[in-house]
Amino acid sequence: MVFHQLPDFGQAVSLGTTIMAVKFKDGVILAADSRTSSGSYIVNRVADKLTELYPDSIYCCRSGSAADTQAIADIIRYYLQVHAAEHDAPPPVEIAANLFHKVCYSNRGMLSAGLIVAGWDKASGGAVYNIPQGGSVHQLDISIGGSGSIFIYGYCDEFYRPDMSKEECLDFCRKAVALAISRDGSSGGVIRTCVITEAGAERDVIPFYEVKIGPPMGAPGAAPAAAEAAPMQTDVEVHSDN
Amino acid sequence: MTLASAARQPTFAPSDSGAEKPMSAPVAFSRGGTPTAHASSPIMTGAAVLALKYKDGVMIACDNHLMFGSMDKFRNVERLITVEPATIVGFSGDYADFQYIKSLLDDLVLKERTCDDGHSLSPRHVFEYLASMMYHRRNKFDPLWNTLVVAGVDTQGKSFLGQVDLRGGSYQADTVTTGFGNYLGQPLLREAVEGKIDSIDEEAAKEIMKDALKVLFYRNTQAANTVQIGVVRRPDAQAGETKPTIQIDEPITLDTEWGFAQMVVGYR
Repeated sequence: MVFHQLPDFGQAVSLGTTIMAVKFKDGVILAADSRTSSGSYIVNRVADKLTELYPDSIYCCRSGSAADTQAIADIIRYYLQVHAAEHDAPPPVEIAANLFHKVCYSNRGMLSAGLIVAGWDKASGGAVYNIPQGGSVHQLDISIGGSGSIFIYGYCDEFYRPDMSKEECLDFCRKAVALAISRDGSSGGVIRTCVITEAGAERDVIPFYEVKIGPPMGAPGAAPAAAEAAPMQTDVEVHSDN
Repeated sequence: MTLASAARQPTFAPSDSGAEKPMSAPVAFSRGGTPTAHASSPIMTGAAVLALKYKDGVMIACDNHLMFGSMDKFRNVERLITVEPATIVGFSGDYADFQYIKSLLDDLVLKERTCDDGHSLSPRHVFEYLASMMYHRRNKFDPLWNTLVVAGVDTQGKSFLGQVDLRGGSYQADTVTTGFGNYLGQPLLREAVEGKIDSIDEEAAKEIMKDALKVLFYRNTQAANTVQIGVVRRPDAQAGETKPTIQIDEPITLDTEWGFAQMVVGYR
């Protein structure tokens, strides 16, 4: 482990990141941070990791290699357009997930991509699919991913409830991403959200510090940590014995 | 061998008959002959430290977090320590090694107080001590994995600012940075400070520092938003002061700009 690096031009520009998608009462909410890093250097501090695949109905969260995930998303976007044209209707989210699966699995050795596909369609309502690095597909009610997600497994396990309202779910997602940002060096910036329902997709952005979390353990203002041995700088009075 | 030929040839083991041998790989050997590896990579790390000279003395700043790889593990850590009477030492790199350096500096202060001869440690003393100590460890292939910034004011009221790294390399300058600060902070500090020290008051120095710390927070994954700024001021003769003052402020949060993120949609 090195503690600082030059912008690592030999290393892939990576979405070391925090992403999530959550099903709620009326649809799904996707959320992500906005940091793209290359080693220790932040290449883009306002990146948009919530990528539209089909207008107003299907989005994906991208983590892993920025180049790989952009290329794959472009391919799936194209195929979804073809599908929509052929069927004269917006494609189901399941189709998008399966297309991702086909691409990610058959190229698994060469890709570094962790994706979460989420959206709303008429047949199933809201749907969330996680396609992790190996290329497998998992349908879930809630899915988190990226390097920052490890810090919020406990939080999401404890506080996720199915059928939350839009406000509750937005609050849950923003808190989760903010908590991850506060611990993960590879996540940061703003918290982007996208609410997808029958009415369409609604995007929003807030800076991470506007989310009310904490105070975190050991931070100034929180309960003091175990005291270190005090430095020998206090004045010691010497009394003579006469 | 003649003296001249001995001087020309590198000497290694006593059994070396004088034939040229390639330099062996840098490995530390214990008495038993088996190589021992010491701390070869930092674990709990502190990020960049920035420091500059200004009109009234020196200013030093850094965040108060420790990283564990890419994880922000501890968030209330003092990365600036005072070495009485007039020096602040800041560190980046391994925290365990720095805690050891801190105990050495505490011993140094204690020794000085015990001497009680009217002299006191100037920043230059601390600097030279740390430089020789770091170089000594480097020669044993067992470095203390830190870059240290020594900032202070000496008994004549002259500012001192220097840096010692894990190889024992040291230098003094008007602006000193470590880690990522070298790439992102140093150009900003140099532009603002070099040649203009006497015209920068404390408020202006703080702004220069906060500006550089903000850039670090924007562009360095290891940097944090809560920072501490410390100063060592030369004695103000007009106010009747005879001793330098050291002040390390409470942590502050930097104001950062994110409003334009709304305009960024997609990746094209």
